[in-house]
Formats: sequence, C-alpha cells, structure tokens
Amino acid sequence: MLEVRAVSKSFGATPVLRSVSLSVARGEFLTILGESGSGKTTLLRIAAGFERPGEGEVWMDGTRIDTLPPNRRPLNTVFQHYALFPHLSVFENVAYGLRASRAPRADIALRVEQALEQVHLTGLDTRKPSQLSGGQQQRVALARALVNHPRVLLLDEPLSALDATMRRRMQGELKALQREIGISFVLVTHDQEEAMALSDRIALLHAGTLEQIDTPAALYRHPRTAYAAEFIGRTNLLRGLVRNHTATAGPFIWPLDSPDGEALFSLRPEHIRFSSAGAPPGAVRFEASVADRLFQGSAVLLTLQCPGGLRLTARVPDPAPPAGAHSFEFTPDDVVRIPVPAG
Amino acid sequence: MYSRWYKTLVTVPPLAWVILFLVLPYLLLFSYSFFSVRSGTIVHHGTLANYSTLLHNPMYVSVLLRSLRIAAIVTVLSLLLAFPLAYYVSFHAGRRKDVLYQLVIIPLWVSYLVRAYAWKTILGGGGVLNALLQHLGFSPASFLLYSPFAVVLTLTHIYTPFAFLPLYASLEHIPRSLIEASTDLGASSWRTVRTVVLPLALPGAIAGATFAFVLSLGDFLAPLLVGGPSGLMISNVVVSLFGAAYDWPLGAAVSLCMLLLVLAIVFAAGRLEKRYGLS
Repeated sequence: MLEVRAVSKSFGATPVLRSVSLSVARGEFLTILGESGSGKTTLLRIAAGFERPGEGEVWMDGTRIDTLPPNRRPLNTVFQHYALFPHLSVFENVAYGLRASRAPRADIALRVEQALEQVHLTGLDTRKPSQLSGGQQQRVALARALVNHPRVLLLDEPLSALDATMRRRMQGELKALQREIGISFVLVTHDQEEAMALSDRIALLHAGTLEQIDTPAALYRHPRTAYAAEFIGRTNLLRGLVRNHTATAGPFIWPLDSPDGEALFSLRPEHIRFSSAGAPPGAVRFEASVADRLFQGSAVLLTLQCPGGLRLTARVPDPAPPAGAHSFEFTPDDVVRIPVPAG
Repeated sequence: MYSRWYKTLVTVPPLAWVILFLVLPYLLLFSYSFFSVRSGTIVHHGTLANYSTLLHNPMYVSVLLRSLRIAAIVTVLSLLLAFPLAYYVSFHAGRRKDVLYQLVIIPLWVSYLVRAYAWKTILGGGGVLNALLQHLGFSPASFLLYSPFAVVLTLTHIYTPFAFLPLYASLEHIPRSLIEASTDLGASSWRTVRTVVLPLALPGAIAGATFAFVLSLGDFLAPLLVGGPSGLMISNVVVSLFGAAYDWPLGAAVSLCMLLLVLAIVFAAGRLEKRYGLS
C-alpha cells in the first residue's frame, strides 16, 4: 500500500539515500533499521512529507503522494520526542487532527475517548503534557496519531526516550496495538532487538542503501551482506574460499555445495559448542583456548584463541568450564555463505 | 562557597549604585510631590494640592488619556508589524535569517533623534511626501506633520524593533517538530500559525507589547519634534513643569503617577507572561 520507489536524497553534497525502494503491505509491521546516519529517519520524513525526495517517488494505494504536502497525506507520525503541543491539554492534543479536519463536535469527544482507551490512558484528559511521565506522553502521541485513522502509522524512534523497563513494556503494547487495529506500522529504530521483537519485516539501511529487507528470522539466519550479518546479532565473519565443493576458512575445512570463488562465512557464536561424544556427523572440530569470558546471565560469551591466530566468539550455556584449552565444534549447515561484493 | 569578603565586594557597588541613583531620586521625587510653589520658590511643607490638581484639572487627565491612547495604538501597530516580520525571519528566511535579523537591529544603533528627524523631513510641509503629492498635482497635506498621527507613526517606527526582539526570541524557541506535528495532523499553515505558533509566541508578544507600550507612553522627543500642540504627551508636560513652568512639586506628582502606572503594567505583564509561558 505504501510504496517507496527508487528514492534518493542528498543534503548539499552529502548523499543520504541512494535509490531506496521498498513497499509496505496492508497491516504489516515494517521496521526501518539502521545506525545513525544510515538515512532511516530521512526515509521516514520523505514518506511523511517533511522532506522531498531528490529523485524517486512515493505512492500510496495507487496515488502518488510525494508531491502532496504533509497535511494532505493519509498517514500520521509519532515523533521521536513526541512533539506534543505543550500549551494544549491531553484531550486537545489528541483532538488536534480531528479539529483540523473539521470533524463534528460530538464525534471528536467520542473518538478522542476511544483513542485514549486504545492506548490505556484515561482520566488524564485535562493534564498538560508537562504533567505526564515519559510513558504517558508516548501514549498521548500514539493516540493523537491513531485518532485520525491513518492508513499507515509512521513511528520515528518512538521508544528511544524511555528507560529500559518502560521501553520493553511499550514494545509489547505497540505490537498488541498494531495487531488490534490492523493498520500498517512503519517504525524507525537503531535498536536491532526492538526491530526483531516487533517487526513482520525489517528493512536494514546502511549508508543510504537498503542492505536487505526480510523477516527477522530470515535476516538473522540468512544475512545477504557482511554488514547485515554483523549488525543483526553477533557473528564471526570468516574470509575464505570455495573450490571443488570444499570450503576453506582459516583452519577450517568442510564440504560445501556452492559455486567456486572467494567467500565470506558467517558463523553465529551460539553455533559453536563444546565438543561432545554425540556430535552430529560432519561437525567441524577444533582446539582453542579461552582468552576471555563475558557473563551474560543465561549464557557466557567466550573469546576463543584458535590455531593460526584466529579469534572467534562463542556463546555457550552457563556454567562454562574454566579457562584453558578445550575442544570445540560447529555444524557446517549453520555456516552462512555471504557473497563477496565484486571489486 | 564564596568568602564573606568576596560577597561584600560584589554586592556593595551595585547596591550603592541603585540606592544613589534610583532609590534616593525617587524618594526625593516622592517628597517633592507633597511640596508646593509660592511666588517662585518651593515651599517645603506637606500638602496634597498637587494630586488634587491632577485629578481636577482636565488638561492633565486629557493629556494622560491621549498618551495612553497613542501608546496603545503604537503597541498594536508594532505588534502587527513585528509578528509577521519575526515569523518570517524565524521560520522562512532560511539562509537570509542572520542578515534580516541584523537589518532589524541596525536602526537601533542610529540615534533616536536622527530617526525622529527623518520623519520630520518625510512628513513636513516641504517634505518628501508633500513634494510627491504636489508633483502629482494634489495640494499638500497639512495633517501629516504636527499631529497625533505623526507621533504614532514615528513611535511605531522607533519601537517596532523592541516588539520584534522578544517575539523573535519566543518564536525561535518553538520546537520545529511541533510545526511538523501540526501539519502531519492535517492542519494548514494558517491553522498551524493560529493554533500552535501564536499561542506559543504569546509570552514574547506580551513582553514586546510591554516594551512598546511603556517606552512610547513615556516618550517625549517624538511628540516634541513631530507632535505639535495636538500631539503633546504626558512626558512633555513633565518636562515643561520641571523647566519653564518651574513647578517641580506638580511635575514630581505627575511623574510619580506615571511611575505607578508603568509599574502596574510591567507587573501585570509579568504575571501574564508566566501564565502563558511553557510550564
């Protein structure tokens, strides 16, 4: 329904977006994920209409909208720092869009109440934003956007200003809310865990280009670029070769049915385990010493010093055996080959 | 913590300055307003005669009312000019912002007298405007100079920057995301100005209005230069009472009334600003 077609944008001589295309399906929760400077916020602002694309178009339900001003687009935005009107009460903040579209008075009261109920914020109608907590302000911002029944809701890092506990709680509520009202959400965030937890699909943006757009699971299991593999979760990137159905990377060799050539391999830390008697056939075994350990609660992150100077990160369940040399293994099926970009 | 010696050092000079040049003169003014003048000398003997004169002589009341009216008109005109200007410079000037801001400030560096005289040259009998009118075949207009109109025009010109500055400052403090939020919610630019920009600029508008009103209420040069007899204001009365008329006690009484009026306005404006300011 919302479709971004080959959008490019530069600020001065600095390119911010390079021909980005993506489309959001009806009722989909799409997350635009990227580090600061990746262009993710600019992409959202182009969809909302606060920036004009340098090149490319934005379409919605068969209508071109990048030529329309923001107040004529059928979408609403939840801003990063909420941008609530400080001089208006909670009720008036939420009613703002309805008043702008000249909705009947009786309708306004009803719809504002409904929207506030949807975000579980009732009884604070007369408060000013400054009298609300961060979480409550967040809810007002949501209600203020949703009350207008947008076809797509844009959310610009809506949870970044909340503390960790509140953020986790709002993530759950955001997901539940999106399922309940069934409209498309487009969320911008730099937090990959948030993206994984909430999204139907994630669009990973890097330096203004779309690295990969996929479901969270596909993005995690089958990253198509080195950047995607490293940004989503942790990984060990190994440079190597494939020749005659055999992969070589550092000290490791395993059979692989893949075209010959240079290759990058991604091996997730949780796929490295201590060797056991019941190892599946074909597992690659190696000796390594534990150089460092990082306690993470349910697991321990180990830095492994392998033969040939290679260092790997492994994630093993706690309690882990003491420091020293141990035997480890991984299953070749868990290793993902990432195409090496030409040049 | 600062030492006692240091604290004394930094507090005493300003305090002495205020006492010597503000509190003492006002006390003197206050006591003079209860004296009287008999056959050319000031009699140091308490009386309320000056205040009764103020109340009962219609001349003083009417000049005061005229001053208030002129100040009110100047305030409204200054705000009407300053708001669109401040709005444009703050929101839409882009790269020209600093230049435009300086252009508003620069006239403040030019002597007040020069600016007032400029209007005399423009509005006068042989002035620029009348020369133009004559050139076009009209008879020269005499109402231009030496009238309340001329005073209002001059004062508006002089005090608009004073209304502009606080307005501009408050506009600069409005987060631009609020403007975006407003348009995102479907509001037109006009509606955004009306429902977001104006209410949030209100403290600045109040401060600007206070400047324009108080400064023009107490102005005596513009009425002196371009006002003529029909454009005299209350400060001109004070000047003449302290000067040619040699009635310092009455002058002191008029000054004190003005002072109280201005203090009341400043106080009320302060309250309003707080009320409409962002909490």
